[in-house]
Order: sequence, then C-alpha cells, then structure tokens
Amino acid sequence: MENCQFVDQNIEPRTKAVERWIATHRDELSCQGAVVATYRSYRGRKLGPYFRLTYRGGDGRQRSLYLGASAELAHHVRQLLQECQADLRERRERHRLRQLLRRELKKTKALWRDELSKLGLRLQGYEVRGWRGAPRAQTRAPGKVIQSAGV
Amino acid sequence: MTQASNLQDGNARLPHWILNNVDFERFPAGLRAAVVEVLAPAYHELVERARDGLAKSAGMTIVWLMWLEIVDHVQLTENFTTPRSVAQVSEEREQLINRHLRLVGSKVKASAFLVRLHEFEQKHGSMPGCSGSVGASPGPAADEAEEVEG
Repeated sequence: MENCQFVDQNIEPRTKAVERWIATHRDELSCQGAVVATYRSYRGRKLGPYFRLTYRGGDGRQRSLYLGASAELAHHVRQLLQECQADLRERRERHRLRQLLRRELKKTKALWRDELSKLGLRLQGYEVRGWRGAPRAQTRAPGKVIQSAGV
Repeated sequence: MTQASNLQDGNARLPHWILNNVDFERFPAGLRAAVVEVLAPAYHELVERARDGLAKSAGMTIVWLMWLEIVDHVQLTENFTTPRSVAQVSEEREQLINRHLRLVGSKVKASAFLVRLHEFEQKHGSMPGCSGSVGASPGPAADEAEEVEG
C-alpha cells in the first residue's frame, strides 16, 4: 500500500535548498522553466504526483530538479517561478496590447480616411492633403473644381 | 464590467472596446493610472464630444495614438531602469526612441488637423460637407490658392 503522506520529514531544509538553487539560477529561470507533476506505475497502480522543476540549461539541454512528492513545496516553487518571470509576463502582455492597439488604430484611420474623402481630402501618413480641391472649391471657386476634376 | 467601473473617473468614460479586449488587472499600476487620468478624459473630449464624423474619427485616431504612446512610455521606462549590457541596451534603446518619436510625430500631425478644424468651425461654423455647409475650407493652402488665382 502506498504511503500517501509526504515521507520526507525534512521539508524545511529541502525548501531552503531549492530556494537557494533558484536564487543562483534566477537569470535562466526569468524566461523559462515550469513545475511539472509526473506519475509512475508500480504493479498496475499509478503513483504520484511527483514534482520536478524543468528548465533548459545554458547548453540547450533539458534539465530538471526533483522536488519530491510535496504539493506544498511544488506550490511554493511555482510562486517563486512566477516572481522570476513577472517581467516576462508583463512584456508579453504589453506586446499583446500594442498589437491590439495597432489593429484598432488601423481601423480608425480607415474611418478617418473615409470621412476625409467625402470632403475631397486624403490622408497621407497622418497628414491631411488635398486642400486645394477641398469643399471651398465646390461652392465658391468653380474654376478650382474644373481644375481638380481634370476637365 | 467591474474592472471598468473601478477605473471610471467622474464623467470620463473608457473607450468602448477596452471592456471586451483588454484585461486591466494584468496591467502595471502606472499604465492603469495613465488610462484613467489621461486617456479616458481625452476620449471624452475628442470622441464623445465631437460634433461630426470627421472630428470623431480624427479624435479616435489621436486616442489610439495616445494609447500607444503610453505603452511606449512604460517600455522606455523599463528599458532605462533595467540593468543590462551597454551594447544590448544602446541598440534597443535607439530603436525604441526612434519608434516613439515617429509615434509622437504622427500624433502631432493628427492633432494639428483637429486644431485646424476647430479653428475653422469657430470662424465659419461647421465644415462644408459635414453639417451645414458655409462654403469655406479650413485649409490655408486653399486660401492661398484662391489669392493666387484671384
């Protein structure tokens, strides 16, 4: 029968050791790394979860730090990882927001262009051009209309 | 909806699409404050109080440009405060500053149009073709052209 209780009685020193390890690998973990739960089977029974901190080393190889069966320790390590990766998440969120804003800007600019075209004006970049053929010509200076219409 | 109501300040309302597409809880505090203190009043002034479609669309464009400007401010601040190697920082910083200057330039151009439109409306009433044509144009180039022709 499997012992479902956490068997390692020395969780405090282990936690301290993991914290020290994370502190020394902070740069590597600032943009990657995750706590994963793994299971193994013994005589047809599924045992676990056993937790590991997986990350990719400087040489590009996948590595892992075994955390044990303590869900408490795994949760604590997840929190530490989140702290390490806070900047990364913020950068991603900002990038996503920027893309969204650029899409909205494109739509709005198209609306603005449409409104300007009703008046015979056009948008070049963010500058409004075509004042010479603008509404004034339609009402006051018919000569200008003829010129702008190319007649 | 609660996020938005927390951010609303007096009569100033947030741009309508924010509720659907953006999660404010994930923004840094500085960015959230900027949205409430700068963007919401600007949206109210330039979009909601706009008299016609032309002013509204130009105002909307300026508001989105302001949004991008604020996001860039946050990114520039981070770039200036994060310790990194000189070579890495200088190239990235140059790109960010150039992008920011282009953005500010675009905003100035769009704002200049809106200012010109407001000046024209104060002088002559509304823009011809928008509502109540008065037969004049806000473009100085058109004035000059007529003088030359006259």
